[in-house]
Amino acid sequence: MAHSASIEASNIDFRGHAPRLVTAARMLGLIGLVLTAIVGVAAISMGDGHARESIWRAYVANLCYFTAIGLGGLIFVLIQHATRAGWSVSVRRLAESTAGALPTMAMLAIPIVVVMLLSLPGIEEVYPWLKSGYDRSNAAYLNKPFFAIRMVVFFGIWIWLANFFVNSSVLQDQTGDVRLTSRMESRCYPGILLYALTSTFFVIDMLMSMNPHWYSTIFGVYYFSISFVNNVSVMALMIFFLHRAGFMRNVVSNEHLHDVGKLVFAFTVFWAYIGFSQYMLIWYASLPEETFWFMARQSGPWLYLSILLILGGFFIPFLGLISRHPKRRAAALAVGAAWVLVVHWFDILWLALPRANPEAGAVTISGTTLVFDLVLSLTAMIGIGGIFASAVLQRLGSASLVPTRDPRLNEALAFHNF
Amino acid sequence: MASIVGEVDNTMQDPRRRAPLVTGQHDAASITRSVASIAEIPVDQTPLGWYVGFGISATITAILGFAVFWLLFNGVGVWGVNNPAGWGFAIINFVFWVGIGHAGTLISAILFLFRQHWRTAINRFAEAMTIFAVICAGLFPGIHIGRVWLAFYLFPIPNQMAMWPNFRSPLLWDVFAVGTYFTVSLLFWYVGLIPDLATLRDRATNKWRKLIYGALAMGWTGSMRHWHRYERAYLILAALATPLVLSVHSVVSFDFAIAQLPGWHTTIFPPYFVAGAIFSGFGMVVTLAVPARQWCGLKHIITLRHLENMNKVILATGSMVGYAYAMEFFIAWYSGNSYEQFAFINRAMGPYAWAYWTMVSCNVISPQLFWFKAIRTSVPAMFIVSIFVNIGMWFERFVIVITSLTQDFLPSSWDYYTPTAFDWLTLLGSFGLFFTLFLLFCRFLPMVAIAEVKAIMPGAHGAHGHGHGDEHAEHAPAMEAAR
Repeated sequence: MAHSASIEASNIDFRGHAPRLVTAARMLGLIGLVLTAIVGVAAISMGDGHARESIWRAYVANLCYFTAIGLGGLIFVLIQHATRAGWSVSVRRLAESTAGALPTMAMLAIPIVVVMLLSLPGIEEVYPWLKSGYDRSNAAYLNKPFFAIRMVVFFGIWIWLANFFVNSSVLQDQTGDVRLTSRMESRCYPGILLYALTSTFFVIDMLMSMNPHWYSTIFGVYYFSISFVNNVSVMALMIFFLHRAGFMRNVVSNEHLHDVGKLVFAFTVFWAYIGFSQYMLIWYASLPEETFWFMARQSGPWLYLSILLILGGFFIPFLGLISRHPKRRAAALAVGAAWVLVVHWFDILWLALPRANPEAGAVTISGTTLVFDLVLSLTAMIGIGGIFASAVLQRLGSASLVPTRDPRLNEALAFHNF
Repeated sequence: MASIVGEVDNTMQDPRRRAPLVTGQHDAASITRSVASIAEIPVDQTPLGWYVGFGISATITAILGFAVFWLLFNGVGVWGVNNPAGWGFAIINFVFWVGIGHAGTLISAILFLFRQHWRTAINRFAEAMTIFAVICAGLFPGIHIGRVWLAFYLFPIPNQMAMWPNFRSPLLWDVFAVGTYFTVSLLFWYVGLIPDLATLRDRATNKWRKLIYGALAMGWTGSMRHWHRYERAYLILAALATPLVLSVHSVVSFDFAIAQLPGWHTTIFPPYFVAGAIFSGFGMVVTLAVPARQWCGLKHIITLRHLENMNKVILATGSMVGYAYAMEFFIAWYSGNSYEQFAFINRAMGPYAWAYWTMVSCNVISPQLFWFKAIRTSVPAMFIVSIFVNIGMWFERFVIVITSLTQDFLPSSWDYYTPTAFDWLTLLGSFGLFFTLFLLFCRFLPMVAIAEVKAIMPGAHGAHGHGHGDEHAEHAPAMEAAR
């Protein structure tokens, strides 16, 4: 077939380049973690009483941020199998590689669980339900042992799902066995169910329980929207950089880019829809047991962050990506995707950093604490992000960039928008 | 109209090739024939079955007319609404019917953007169903306002008394949301009909048909330029209708969720209502498609694979609804809020437990049967499940509206809501109206989008010269015709 020639002509073997990049990313990650430690120690020694809390918050926020990208990759892959998608075969391995970083994220989650189990100073300020006197009815759910068990279950399920789908896809490169596609399809449906439940309770545990008095049924959906839009944005960035380095040029065309761009656009709107629903309903009903969480986010410095999210999370990408032109130009889409990724990094900080109190609403923090919050978030982002990136790059370099013998690859190669 | 075509199983899955979406030996001409001929049966040869169905539906519509007349003649007291439950069947039926409509827009707009070719066989009548369902829905707020002659106050019409509806009320947002939804759905449906109306015009054998279909076809000639503009317009309408699918039922959910009432006020309501609406809508599409394909001889176009796909959507959206129920329950417990907890325990164990468990078994348990391919591809089984879905989704709205209203914060104001005969007759009558409109549509308009089905047939793109064999024809680059 004519298409096979285009695969051969196009460089889809990233193996030679990956090790160097993996090492660089890992070094960057280690530097970030060391920097986090240094800044943390400096903050503690400067006598900032909240410094330990800032470290844990920054760490959890970035853990949730990069796990979201991996989970977005997982659900993307699952949905492609569930819908027997043809167009996406040529970009599916990119999502498989972000999903493939989930085992590494599990390693990075261990410290938080350990910190909790050891009740290291500061963690009780992040998760008030860890305090010994905590006696709300949901203590049956929010307690150390159950939290640890749940983390093991969640990451266990994700690692199992990610390994199965990534390995089956890679195995097919060698065997060309069509039955692998059917097997992945038959397992993806229960996989989606498992994903929905685990991802929801993961974010309830990690972020919502920072205010154990506060509750919102849509919270899991909000995290899903962040996961999905982040992952497709990462895919758009990967396509841009790989194209620039001369990879995948004939395999991933502007048509695929266009579709990835449409997903970035669509899920930007979806995120705004979910965020609006949550805010509007709580604002309108104005029940104090719910509003204090938003009060904390619209007072003090966090107000500016809230406004940034509305403008930067919705209006700017909406207007920027609505036309087909930016979606079909890798550089323009990469700018949009990077923007979306940055905004949603702030989005996760917006969930994790503001301190709220059910009685008083906003809890004011000092300027120094705020600075340490942000600096530590940044260094933790470099740390966790570097290690996450090294895991993704390692996956990218461990097999060809395209599932070369997927039965629907020809369909993807021949695909055109109209 | 009875079909002699047997059931062809095209649900087998081979990742190497796409299964055919039109079964049997068919070409463009025979597709036109099989769809157009249904609308072309001369009036004096109308099958008896149609008359029977139409007679029953029209009679039930007459009952609706009587129930509405009686309501207007006597006042809202003929209904079972009482002091805590000021919203009874009227809002339940309104939400139910708006929800039914959502499948049509999902199929015509969202599945179009997702390039799901199988939608071509079902989009036309699903969209028709949307329009008729929204008509049924729109009836209820109209007659519930008490003084129907002042119904225009629903709209913010400038007047010398400077009287305005409350812009902060989601009920007013509903007027806009549903109004916009109806307008765009109607336009979308009509634009899609134009090429097929022209086909009927060209095939017409008598003057009246030629005149009426000709006027409706708006001078369509099928020229390249017409098609080009048509496809652009269709794409734009699909893009406009897509957010509407989400927004309409989100706004409907705001009717409840902005309140402080436990069981109503919960943040997951907007996406949960949207998923539920699509769930109920697909239930209705399967309920209608199963007999329609049988009686109109359309089994080769609305194949088993189409039905299976719809059942998968029912399973997916039914599971989303189950997720929302579970999340509401979990958070009610997690919140530690005694009112929230009471509302949910009361649903499951209180005076309306019968309604709650009807809802759970129909909405959460029955669609789970579709995990089994044997059930998913069995026409009688899916028909039964689809009826259950319809029942379950009506009861969902009943449970939400009635349990929360009748037992709120103040036990001294609690009461039991009992619908009267006129509540039931109005509900029944709305089904009569729906089926009457649907039967008229089946009789006089092309039930399937003829032009779109032709575009997904094997060989439709042979002229593009990509050298694919038949097996690849459906996903040849010429997918532009992907409808």
